[in-house]
Amino acid sequence: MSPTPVDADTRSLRATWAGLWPYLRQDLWLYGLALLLAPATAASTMIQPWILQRAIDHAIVPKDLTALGVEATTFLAVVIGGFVFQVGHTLLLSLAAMRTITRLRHAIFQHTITRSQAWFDHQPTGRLLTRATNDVETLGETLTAGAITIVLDALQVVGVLGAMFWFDAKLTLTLLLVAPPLGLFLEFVRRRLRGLFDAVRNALAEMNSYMSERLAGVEIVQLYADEARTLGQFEARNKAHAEANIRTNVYDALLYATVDGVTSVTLALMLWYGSGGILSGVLTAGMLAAFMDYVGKLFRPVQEFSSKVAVIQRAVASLEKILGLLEVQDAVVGGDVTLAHPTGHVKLEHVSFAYGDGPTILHDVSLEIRPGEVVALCGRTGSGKTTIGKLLTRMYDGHDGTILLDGAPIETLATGAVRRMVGSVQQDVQLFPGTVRSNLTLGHEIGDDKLMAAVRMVRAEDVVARLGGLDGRVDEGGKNLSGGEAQLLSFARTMAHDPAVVVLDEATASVDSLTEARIQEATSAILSTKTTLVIAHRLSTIVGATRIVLLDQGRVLETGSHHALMAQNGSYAALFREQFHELATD
Amino acid sequence: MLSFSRRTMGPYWHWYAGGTLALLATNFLSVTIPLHLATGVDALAKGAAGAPIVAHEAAIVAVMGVSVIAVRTLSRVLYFTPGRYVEQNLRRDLFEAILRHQPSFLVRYSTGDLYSRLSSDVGTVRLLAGFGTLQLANAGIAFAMAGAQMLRLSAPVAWWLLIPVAVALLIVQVLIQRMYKLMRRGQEELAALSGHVMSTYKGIAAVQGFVAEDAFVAEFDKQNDQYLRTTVERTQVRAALGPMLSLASDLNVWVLLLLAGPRVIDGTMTVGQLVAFTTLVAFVTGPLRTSSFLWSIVKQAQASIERVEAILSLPPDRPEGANGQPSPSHAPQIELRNLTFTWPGRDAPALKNVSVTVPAGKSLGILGATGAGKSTLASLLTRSWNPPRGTLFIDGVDVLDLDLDSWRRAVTLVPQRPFLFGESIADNILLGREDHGALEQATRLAALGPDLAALPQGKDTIVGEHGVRLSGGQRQRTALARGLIRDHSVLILDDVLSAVDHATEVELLENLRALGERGVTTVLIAHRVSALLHTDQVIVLDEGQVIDAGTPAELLGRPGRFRDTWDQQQAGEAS
Ligand SMILES: Nc1ncnc2c1ncn2[C@@H]1O[C@H](COP(=O)(O)OP(=O)(O)OP(=O)(O)O)[C@@H](O)[C@H]1O
Ligand SMILES: Nc1ncnc2c1ncn2[C@@H]1O[C@H](COP(=O)(O)OP(=O)(O)O)[C@@H](O)[C@H]1O
Ligand SMILES: [Mg+2]
Ligand SMILES: [Mg+2]
Repeated sequence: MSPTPVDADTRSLRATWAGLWPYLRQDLWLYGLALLLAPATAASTMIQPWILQRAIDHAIVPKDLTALGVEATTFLAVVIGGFVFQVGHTLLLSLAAMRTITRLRHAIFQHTITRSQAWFDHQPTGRLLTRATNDVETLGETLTAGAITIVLDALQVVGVLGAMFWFDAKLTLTLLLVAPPLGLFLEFVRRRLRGLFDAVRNALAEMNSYMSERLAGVEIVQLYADEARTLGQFEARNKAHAEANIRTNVYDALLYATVDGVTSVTLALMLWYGSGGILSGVLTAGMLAAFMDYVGKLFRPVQEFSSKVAVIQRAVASLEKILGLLEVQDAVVGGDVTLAHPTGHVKLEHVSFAYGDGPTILHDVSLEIRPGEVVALCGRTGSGKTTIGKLLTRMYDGHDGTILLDGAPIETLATGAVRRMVGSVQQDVQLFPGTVRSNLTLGHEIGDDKLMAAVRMVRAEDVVARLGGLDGRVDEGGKNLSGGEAQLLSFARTMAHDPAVVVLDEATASVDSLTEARIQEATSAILSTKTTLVIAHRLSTIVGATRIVLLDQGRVLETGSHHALMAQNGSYAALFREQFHELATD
Repeated sequence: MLSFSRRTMGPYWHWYAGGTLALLATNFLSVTIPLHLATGVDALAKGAAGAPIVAHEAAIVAVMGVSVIAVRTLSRVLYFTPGRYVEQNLRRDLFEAILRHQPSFLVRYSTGDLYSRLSSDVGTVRLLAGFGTLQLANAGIAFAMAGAQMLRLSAPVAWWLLIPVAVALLIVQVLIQRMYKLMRRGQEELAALSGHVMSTYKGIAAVQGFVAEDAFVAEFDKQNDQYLRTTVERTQVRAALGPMLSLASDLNVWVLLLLAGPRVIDGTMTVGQLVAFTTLVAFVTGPLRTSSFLWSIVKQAQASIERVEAILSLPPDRPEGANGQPSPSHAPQIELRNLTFTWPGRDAPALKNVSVTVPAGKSLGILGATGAGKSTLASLLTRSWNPPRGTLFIDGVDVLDLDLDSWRRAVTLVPQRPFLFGESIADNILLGREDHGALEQATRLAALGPDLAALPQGKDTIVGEHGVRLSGGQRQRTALARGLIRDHSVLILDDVLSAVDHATEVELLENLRALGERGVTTVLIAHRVSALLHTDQVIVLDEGQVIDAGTPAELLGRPGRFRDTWDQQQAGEAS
């Protein structure tokens, strides 16, 4: 085993705990109060052997029953006082830890959902979920059961040691001979465990992300009779997780057991040494009894501490993962300009774009849409149509060239302002468990009248009625809806939010043609007051557009009205004729 | 709970047996050490004469101390390891059960709920199978041994010491009941919270696109705070619960002073015995303290076991029983007889009295408005949901009598909403198959060739979760290729052309037509009339009913929905 450089290890450990600071700062008073009670609890533990010693030496050995009565009563008072303090201490500490954890969970959620799409493209949701649930829970358990009570343990060790020194310094020093080897050993194990628990966290996240993805796609697994292979793959991860944990077992157990054994060795040491003391008359039997009790009380916190080392290592591994997540900076950073009354003027000038370090998807695209205009994008699948829509809603940044909204470069506008101005009906319908209403408003204040108007606009009143009105239930991902119904709800949602610029990305692709035509008719009036970008494959649905832009592998091939493009007799005209010619002759 | 433990932990009995032996040794050593110490202390009183005895006893204690390290380590390893195995097995069994249960059963649970059963609940069971069992055994052995020693030292004193423990246990029992309720509530709230987090991540584009982050965070906070309240309540119980038993142990020292003190004074007990008594009391303090924790683990595990068993104990919904009929290996005839089906939670049926026969190896086209019941029909055909008995026949055999596994291998459905896993395009299509020649063929049939050529990593492109890194059309055709690569005798394509451009559509239809000639019974659901023109017969569905049926040519030749749709799709030409 290669030794880890000492300060690199401790520094990062300190930094890790420091990362927790912002979340426990607010509850400092609770932690403080809990800590204040700690010495009282520790004191009660420490006084008990002392009273016991007095009872033996001053009451039992001299055969003084009254004195015994007094000592016993004191003892009882100390025990009950200790109990009360301990309950108070635990209560305050857990309360503080839970509040910290709740805050941390909030921070994780808040932080992650404001990261960029580009980041999400590479994140298995299962892994994120593991951070927000399992890792936070682990940390919480440690905070309540472990980390802070270490202070209590340390206090107890110091207190007991102090008392022992006061009794007999030489004897105590002899006993302390066991400390250096014990300390070295504990440190060794702690280091080993740290690496092992990191492996556990990774194995867990790996297993969980596989699990959550297959649960989401369980229908495909079943339809394609892929259960056996899926189970095999799952089992491999499940096994890796179990084995990673099993590897920690020996160290974990060793930590606990060692202290136990060392206690006995220390007692033996004391007995052997004590014999000299009693013989020479410096030690009494009562003192020896008290000392033995002290040794037990000295090692109990040490044992607690060492068993907590494992728990704490686990928590450190979790905390590191959580902090790593919270440090992810990948967010689309907007400017601070907000538009009170956007008119919806959209202009792209020489825009090029690539997803991350992938190939260039858009090449030098220029495009202008004025308020009231409808511009249609067409082109083969994968030619970059949806990508243009994503850039307009600033789902991705890092494009070359300029995108102007109402004359302002898109980067200078607040992201919220951009997205309120440009609403898109996404090609991928995303619905949430809840009601029709909650899916339409997504938490915004929109009255039922307005919602129903939007529903009627997309000719979905029958659909909504079928679902049970605005209160009708929508399952996870819209599973209980037909494909077209889900798409109509998504369309209605955008209309209900009433943006100045509307991007319709194949918004009716899963809707039958007759309904589609009726929607077109119903939306044309409202769309003429907005700026519209339509993406569609069915040329019949876009012939009425102000301008049609034909995209080919990310390049603008032709631009113009339907008639102009037909007259131009280029690619668009060929495409159009092909589409309708074939239909006509079939 | 007992039978559950026997089932899951039974196979590892030898681990537990070994662990128990090690525990016995550990505890034996731990209780014997005080006795040797007592002998040593008493020998001290004898002055110089006792010195060799003292040295001897000290040496014994030291050796025993070192042995304790070995046996205690062993006992923990021997208990914790099977705990992990129990966890692993249970998680596998549960995952397998989830895969075996049909969608009709699984709809009752959200993905987040299933997820939390697989992760937290199974984890709780592990806690019981490892740590819990160890503590239980340890406490049992420790009490028995310490008890025996105490009885030997002084029976009357030992009996008195039971009283504080018994009272504490009684109080613990009451508190635990309350705790159990709070725990269950906590588990449910945490599952709901996970569900919210998961669905938010899945719909992140909509959340951000509609600037709904604040609303989703607010909803999260509501649930998060509710969970906090439950855990705080639970903590209040736990704070009293934890030190309750160590209080009993401390009180026992007091009882000792009261009872043993006078005995030492009147000479019926020695000081050494008193010291031994206090050491023994200290010895059981640890196990006593963990007992209350242990108890709460047991309670928590009980709740988790119920949640796991709810899924594990129910057999999957397979009306064919153990000996279903094998599916025909050739293209079968499909017959629907008066098929009526209503989705749970809906008033109106999604399909009403649908009767149609698709001859073996022929194709059926389905056209219909949004929500007309087309995909419902597909779900029933694949038995994702079981149709009512006597309504759906494959070569004259009720589909409910077919062995589900063999039927699923025979039928391929490419669903309307493509679902891709976050792997490479090739892995998504192959689904474990090794045949790369077939992969070439399938990508060609699904017209994916040009797309793969354009992607820098080609078929090894990682598509991202749910295929987020592909265009809609690429995603759809990847799902199509996954369907086409299979050897099936029935093929159902549900609206697989919605996201592709015209040129690709033409290519695809050409390929499918060629496939049809290979003798596969085909059901083609589409909104494009052009896609249905080559089918052998078409039904038009509206609100679950067949409103028109015939060959495409017949339907084109008479007024009706089919013709209207065709005209609508042709309208572009007029402009
Ligand atoms: N899992 C489900 N649970 C409850 N209702 C459902 C479920 N799936 C579909 N439905 C309902 O059944 C009816 C028929 O839906 P189906 O998916 O069969 O329509 P479809 O003809 O495929 O429509 P589309 O062309 O829009 O895909 C709809 O009203 C739909 O809301
Ligand atoms: N999130 C993404 N990460 C990487 N590549 C992407 C991502 N989204 C789309 N692409 C790629 O960009 C290209 C254009 O996609 P898109 O704009 O969706 O096409 P379409 O014109 O069909 O809407 C495709 O080759 C697709 O694979
Ligand atoms: Mg697209
Ligand atoms: Mg459908």
